[in-house]
Amino acid sequence: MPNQLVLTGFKELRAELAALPESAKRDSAPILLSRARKAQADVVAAYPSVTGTLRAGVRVVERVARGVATLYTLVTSAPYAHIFEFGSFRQRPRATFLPISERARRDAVVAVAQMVEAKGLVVRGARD
Amino acid sequence: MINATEVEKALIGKLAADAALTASLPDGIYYDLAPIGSTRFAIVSLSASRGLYELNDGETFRALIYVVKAVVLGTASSVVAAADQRIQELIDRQPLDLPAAAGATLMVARWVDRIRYTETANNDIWQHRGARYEITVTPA
Repeated sequence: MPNQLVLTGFKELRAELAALPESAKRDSAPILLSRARKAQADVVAAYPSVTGTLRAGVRVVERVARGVATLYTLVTSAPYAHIFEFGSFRQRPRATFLPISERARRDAVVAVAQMVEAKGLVVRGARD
Repeated sequence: MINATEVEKALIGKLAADAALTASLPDGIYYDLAPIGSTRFAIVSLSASRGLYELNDGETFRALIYVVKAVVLGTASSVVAAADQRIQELIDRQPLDLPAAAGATLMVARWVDRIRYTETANNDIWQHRGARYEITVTPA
């Protein structure tokens, strides 16, 4: 189920980050965290609040990964988050988590690329 | 100008015109919601979208990501599995005839990620199975 998103976990970005100088790895972490936190706030704001479970389930999980300074995973963990996102037999899908998290991921890639370029390195390839 | 509604109508129309799919899902293909009482149907719904403005300040292309899933009442998986497979055969890397009113031509239609879950409601079991599909179009 696509109900979680690894902001730096997709293979290309992760490989690129692993290959960066230590200073760039270190500097990428707060950039990625800020995008993850913003996405978390945006998802929480977009979710309705009845029992509070849906909003409470939106978390940023930090993990230390080999070769990369930090990974941040945005998770929506309410037991019915997928039904909210994709719909029930009588309720329409309400796309919320996926469009917000996917937009955050694209923003994160661009922000890291800009940081790397500011250090004098060359960034190639699509960023969208 | 791209008219996304026409793209959606073309997508639903293609699914609805397929005899094998409608045999599996006789209640029809709907955007967002099926009529009350439906027990075998497909849903098309917008999940995400984005445009890219790269050339001459114009819109180079627009990516529309749709949830396309079969919804079937009951525990047997054969019907929902067959419908899911047929939906993929009809959309993934396949052409999509867009009318002139869409203001766009298809660049690619492709499978993105899988959707599968089971819902219980009022002692009934509903199976949802499908995928998100990206329909990327460029201005005609």
